[in-house]
Amino acid sequence: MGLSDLNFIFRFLPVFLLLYFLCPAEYRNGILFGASIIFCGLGSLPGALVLLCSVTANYMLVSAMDQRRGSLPWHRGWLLAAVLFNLGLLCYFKYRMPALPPGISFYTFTLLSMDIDVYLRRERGPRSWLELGTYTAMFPKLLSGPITAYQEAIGQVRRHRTSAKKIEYGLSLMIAGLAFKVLIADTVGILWRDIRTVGFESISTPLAWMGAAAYSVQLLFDFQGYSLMAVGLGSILGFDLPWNFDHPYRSRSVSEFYRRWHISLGRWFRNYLYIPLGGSRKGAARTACNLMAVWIVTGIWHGVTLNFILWGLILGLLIVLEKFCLGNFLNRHKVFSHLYVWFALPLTWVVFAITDFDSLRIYFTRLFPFWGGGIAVNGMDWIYHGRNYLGFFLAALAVSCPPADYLWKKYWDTLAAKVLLFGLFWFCIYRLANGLQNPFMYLSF
Amino acid sequence: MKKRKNTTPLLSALAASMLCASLVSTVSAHGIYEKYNAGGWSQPSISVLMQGLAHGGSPWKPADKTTGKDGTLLADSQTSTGMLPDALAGQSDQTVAGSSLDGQNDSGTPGGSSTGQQGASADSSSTEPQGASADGSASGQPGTPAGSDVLANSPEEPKQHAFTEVTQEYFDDALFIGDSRVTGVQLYSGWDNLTYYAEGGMTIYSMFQCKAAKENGRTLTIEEALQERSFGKIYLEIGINEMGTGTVDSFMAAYEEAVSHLRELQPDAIIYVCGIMYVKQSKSESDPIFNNPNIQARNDRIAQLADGENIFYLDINEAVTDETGNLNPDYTWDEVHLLGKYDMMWLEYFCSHAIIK
Repeated sequence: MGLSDLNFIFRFLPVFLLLYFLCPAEYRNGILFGASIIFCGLGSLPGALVLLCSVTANYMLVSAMDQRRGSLPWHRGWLLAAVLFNLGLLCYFKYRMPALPPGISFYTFTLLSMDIDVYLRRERGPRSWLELGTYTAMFPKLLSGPITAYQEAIGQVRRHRTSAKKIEYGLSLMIAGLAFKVLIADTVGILWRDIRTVGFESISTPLAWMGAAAYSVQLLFDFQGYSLMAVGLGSILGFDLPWNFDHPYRSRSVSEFYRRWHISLGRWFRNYLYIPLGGSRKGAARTACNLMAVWIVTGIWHGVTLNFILWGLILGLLIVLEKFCLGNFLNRHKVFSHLYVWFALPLTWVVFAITDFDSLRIYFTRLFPFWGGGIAVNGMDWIYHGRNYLGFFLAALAVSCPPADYLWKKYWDTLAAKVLLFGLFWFCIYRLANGLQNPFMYLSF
Repeated sequence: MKKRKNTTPLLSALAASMLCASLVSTVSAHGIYEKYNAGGWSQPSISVLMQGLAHGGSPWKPADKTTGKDGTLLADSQTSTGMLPDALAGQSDQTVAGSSLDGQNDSGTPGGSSTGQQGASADSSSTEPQGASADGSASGQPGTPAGSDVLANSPEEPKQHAFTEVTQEYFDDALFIGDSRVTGVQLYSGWDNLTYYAEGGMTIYSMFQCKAAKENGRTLTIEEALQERSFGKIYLEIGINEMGTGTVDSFMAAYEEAVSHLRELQPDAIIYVCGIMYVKQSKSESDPIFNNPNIQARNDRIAQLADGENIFYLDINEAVTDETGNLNPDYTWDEVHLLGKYDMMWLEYFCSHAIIK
């Protein structure tokens, strides 16, 4: 069950919200935690057990670590145990099991954030198992983040209040996120599926580029849509979850792109891997190595197949190049830097999307058809396949432009916007009930 | 304008409308929209109302149940899907199930409605009709005219014709009508001397009303186009989108009527009725509707329309199945459609199975 599932919207959420708001404030964390376990269990019962075990083990480990604050070896030993437990659990499910428990990549990083923050004494450990469970498992962010940093989020678990305005704002964000997912991502995604059905050997070069663009738009709007829904749900419940996206395609470099894309994961890697490795303080060579290490791990985090490691390597190389060679040039040439991002990023997403190396090679020969490689290619097929999607690409562009931000900030709380959002909500429901119900793409990571 | 404080108009409007819509859905799910209520408890009742609104008119003025609109369901619901709208786009049995109940008087589920046929045909598998026509000798026709009323204009003593090999020129006056599987052939076979009236999601129920014909820069329905232009051969490859709709009998009633109407419109054309192409083994074994025994049950009946004189049955499955009798897994990505590089196999098969009068 995902956030865009009709069962979630029409059954789970209304019942949960009624219970949550009818209960006295001191019981709300309990209700939220219980509902989150049920939410997880409805998707996968073993997954809910893994979640409960992981929370319990981490609670015991961090409590032991907290009690041994005075003894450095013990303190360090318990941290090591916690890190090994979490990474071991994640690797076991990623590499050994056919299906990942829901949200494990995300909540494992959330728990590691707690272990490390408590070890570094940035924040005291959780006061109770329930408090840790609520911080880790709250269902708005359980499946695909945002990954919250312990020191920033635990205070909110202890004290969170909502208001009429926060509820309205949260609902507005949820509807916007649902529309991103249902109306743009799912529709444009069909083009990518069509291309796979035709087979990469037979697509024309324009269609290959349209496919790269379609996948890029689909991934952005799918994950951004989910993230908006998560932040919106958080707002309704009284939490301020961190933003995961900040218009990444407005970036002028790949480095900047990844400061604006999946922000919570980028911050996690910066705070808990890059900086502990020495960051950029230990000379150019070490900085380059640290960046490459971070990006290879990022690739591995996304998937077990080799293409994800290649994807991480390519991004690492581009970011190192930008840091030491290209950065100044990109800064000086505004138009070129935008074109560079719009050209390079979709190509990296192709590497991300195609898990099999032979298929990847064929796709690149269609993108750059200098070496031949096509079989039964129809040079005009892009007109047939692409004719239905222009409007959706334009809609994606329109809502990503700065004027859209301005309009949202200025008018979201007006009656006209609410009428529009109300209509948008029902249109999304209509599409959901009558179309293919695709799960969010980031659920598989 | 007076500033609102501590009010939640959006929440209130959403809550009230969701409550009302759910009530209406629950009532209509057991009433006028009962046919969309295929998911039972697995989906909230709102999905019944939404499907009803999309395909069956408003709750207070539902569409006529007897008009047989089933054919347009999948196409309508997926107008933006380009080549793949065939419900089969690989997933969503829910969608198919929900979409497939229209126009059916029996109350069984789509899967249930065809299981009887499935059992009956499972043993006969795919070999019988194929074997009969593969050699191309004698009449080369599986199924003699027994019971095919559509052949009313057959001569008293029909001449029997044998399949022969032909070249590309044979198709200069040929028309290929069908669904997204045919659009694949249109785009990737590389032959453009055929005429194609093909559209993703096309079904036998709405075939003649489908605006799939491009003639002289105009877009016409197939009915209009066939009144304007005549063809020497017509290949009809259709039937996979209808799998989730109705029974084999209801499908065949529409199919026979369509072939009969084709004969009226094009009395001089040779009509090739093509068996529905199989799906990949993994799909066939996991899908209660889109599986090869169900397909074969329909193909057996389509084959019976052949008269050896004007109507001939062709079974592409002879060319595209593997040793297990399912669609060769190397030929497909989505388990249903051929990859572009294999679409030519259709025309190669037609070349070796042609009738010359």
